[in-house]
Amino acid sequence: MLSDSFLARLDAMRLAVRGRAQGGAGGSRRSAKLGSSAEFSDYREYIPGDDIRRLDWNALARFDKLFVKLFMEEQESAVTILLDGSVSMAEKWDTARMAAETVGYLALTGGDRLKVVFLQEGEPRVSPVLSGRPAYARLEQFLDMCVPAGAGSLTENVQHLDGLRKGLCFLISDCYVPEGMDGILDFLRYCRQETGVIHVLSAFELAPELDGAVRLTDAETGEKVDVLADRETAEQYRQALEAFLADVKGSCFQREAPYLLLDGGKNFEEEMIPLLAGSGIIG
Amino acid sequence: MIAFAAPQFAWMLLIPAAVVVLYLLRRKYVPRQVPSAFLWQKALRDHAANRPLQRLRKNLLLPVQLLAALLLALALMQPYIPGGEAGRTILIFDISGSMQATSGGKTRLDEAKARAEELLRGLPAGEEITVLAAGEDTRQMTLGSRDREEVRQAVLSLACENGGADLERAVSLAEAIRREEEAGARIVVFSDSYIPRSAVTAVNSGAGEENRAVSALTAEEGRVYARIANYGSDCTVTLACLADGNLAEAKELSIPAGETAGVTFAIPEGTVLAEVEIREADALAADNRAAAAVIRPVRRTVALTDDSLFLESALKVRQDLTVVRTSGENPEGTPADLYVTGSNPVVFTRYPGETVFSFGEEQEAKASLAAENTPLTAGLTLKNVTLRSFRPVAGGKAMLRCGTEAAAAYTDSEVAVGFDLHDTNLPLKYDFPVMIQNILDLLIPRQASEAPETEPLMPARESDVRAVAPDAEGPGSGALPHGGQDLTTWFLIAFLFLLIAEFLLARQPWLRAGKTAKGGKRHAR
Repeated sequence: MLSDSFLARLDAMRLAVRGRAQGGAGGSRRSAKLGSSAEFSDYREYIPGDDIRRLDWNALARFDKLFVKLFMEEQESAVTILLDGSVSMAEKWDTARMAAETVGYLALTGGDRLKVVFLQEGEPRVSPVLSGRPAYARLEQFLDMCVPAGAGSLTENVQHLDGLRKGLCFLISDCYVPEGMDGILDFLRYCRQETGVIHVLSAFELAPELDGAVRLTDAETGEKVDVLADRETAEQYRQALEAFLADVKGSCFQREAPYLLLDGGKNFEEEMIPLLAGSGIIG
Repeated sequence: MIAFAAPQFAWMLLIPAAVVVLYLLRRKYVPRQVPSAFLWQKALRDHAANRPLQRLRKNLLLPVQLLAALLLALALMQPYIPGGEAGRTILIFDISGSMQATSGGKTRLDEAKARAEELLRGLPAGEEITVLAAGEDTRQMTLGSRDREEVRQAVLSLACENGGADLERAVSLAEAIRREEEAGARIVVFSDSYIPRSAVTAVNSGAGEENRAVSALTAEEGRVYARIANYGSDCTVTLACLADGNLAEAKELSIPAGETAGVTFAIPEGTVLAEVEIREADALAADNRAAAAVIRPVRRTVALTDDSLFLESALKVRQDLTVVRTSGENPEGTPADLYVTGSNPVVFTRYPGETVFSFGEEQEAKASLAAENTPLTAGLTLKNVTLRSFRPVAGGKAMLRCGTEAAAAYTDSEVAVGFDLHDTNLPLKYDFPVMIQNILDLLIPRQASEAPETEPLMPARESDVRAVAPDAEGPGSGALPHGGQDLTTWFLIAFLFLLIAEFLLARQPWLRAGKTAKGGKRHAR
């Protein structure tokens, strides 16, 4: 769904990771270990047995001492995308999917191991582990198979996940969680996930335009709410929306989780990159 | 104290209640599916504006609209302050047959009396009241009476007639009375007819109802012919024929809506009075029964002296005539009602031997026959009628001329034809029997036996009780006049003022803002 020009712009970006990567295979993330990558880390005095190829000959000339250059060992990170698949996402599915593709592309081009979990009612649909840029096509194939449907609690769906490897995790959802996002974020933290939240809301949800008396039906629960479109109702909704956004954002900030709010009514490719940079998801 | 001239519009007071109900119920919710009602539930949890009473409380237009509706309803009831200066009132009551029509157990005249009573209560004391009863003739029941009780009694004593009502004449009479008054007088007509006069207040006393009527009845020896009119929807009526008060025959008759149907009954020989009645009850009972005396023609004899086949055939067309032959020399020897003597001239006379006519010498007819304008030549054309010769007739009044001479003349008791019927082709033309019948009608008109007098049939316009005033919605429609100060105009002005105020209020941006909700706002990220 993403255009080639947008993907080309993403090529110059990397997902930001606060912690050290911890993965099996070599990758492009700086790991806690010192290794043989090209990224310089520090100096230390030479002790016998060190690889003499890492001796800093300039330091030897200047100080007449043997110093060894230390380099970061680069390992791959595990990136998991948790994609809310409840029917409430249907209206903004295109935006949610493009967000997943963007994060997935950044992960794949960053040399990370990517896994997408489509959170639906019952068992989640989990993609195979993808790595390397060519796997982007498989990511798209997997997302093609995902259609938002059914209800189900996001909290329950997340908390029933198992097999999460320590790594980066991006939750893409409308965050309609009556009990708040704290439980989900804490659980992911418990699973050693460095979580980012991409909050997707449709244009109607952000700025509803109603005329007269409207009977709103919840797509998930079928609940009906009679709304009389007047100034007061509009004001009440605005306040409820602000409180909701502040609540989600606050939960994220408390846990240092990057937060990004996407407006389904706007042009995704124009909006996404500044938002990604501003939220701290790319670095 | 405010009174109302048209209290029948009191139901309009329900309009304000209807406005409130509409406010409560008018919300037709447009269904819309949203991804989640989560935020809306949160927004409306403590928002009481969607409760009906709160909604009313918050709507500024409602009190304005309620007041406007109330004023309109009151204006339609024509409010006034009773009292004022006494004047003159002329009440005209239609007492035609159709006012007997019943609706809801009351006749139209009863309804008119009730409305008149209502009107009398609203008139100021000292009002001079004239009551006119308009039937075929106009009767004056009271003239400028200040005695309210006398007027009431006069009104109560009114009874319907079976005929029509000459309302035009009654209104003209009332207008003549009004012209005599310097201060003028108000004229109120209680009728079920339409009175197209602007200076007259017509109070409709009835609405259209279904009715069937005996519209024509003829009885002759052995049989009765009746015509039944249906002023309503398709129906089948049961008809009974009474001969001198005894049931002779009963029949059922189906009549399509708005049409008439004929029916014949057999009655015994010698019946004097035949009656036909419709058994089914309808709006107007008076026209459901009609009576007719049985017609028995008196037989007449015509004595014919000359042998004329044409003449004899023409005479026998009249079925009540018996033609006998008699001697031309002594016709009086045969008793008869009419004598036809001679062949040239031919004289029709009731008294033979006494004639006022004289006849000239026979002369050739140089001109064709022409008819004078007389009762005896009614219906004659004399087209292609030729005459060979004739004897000019002197005396009496000419009925046929040949040139300037009279070829035939008549008096009240005899008719002289101054030519031989063999010298003309007149007997071969259809003019001949017509002329003979005219002569017979003059000299020996038809006579019926003595018959008892019967009530005349009700006129069709009265039987058709559907034909009420176009604006008569129901019994008692039409506003009553009153003697007080009319407030209707003020109420209407106030109503219009409120309507404009409501219009201006509705255009206020601070009210209109509530019409469309634009919740939320674009959040800067």
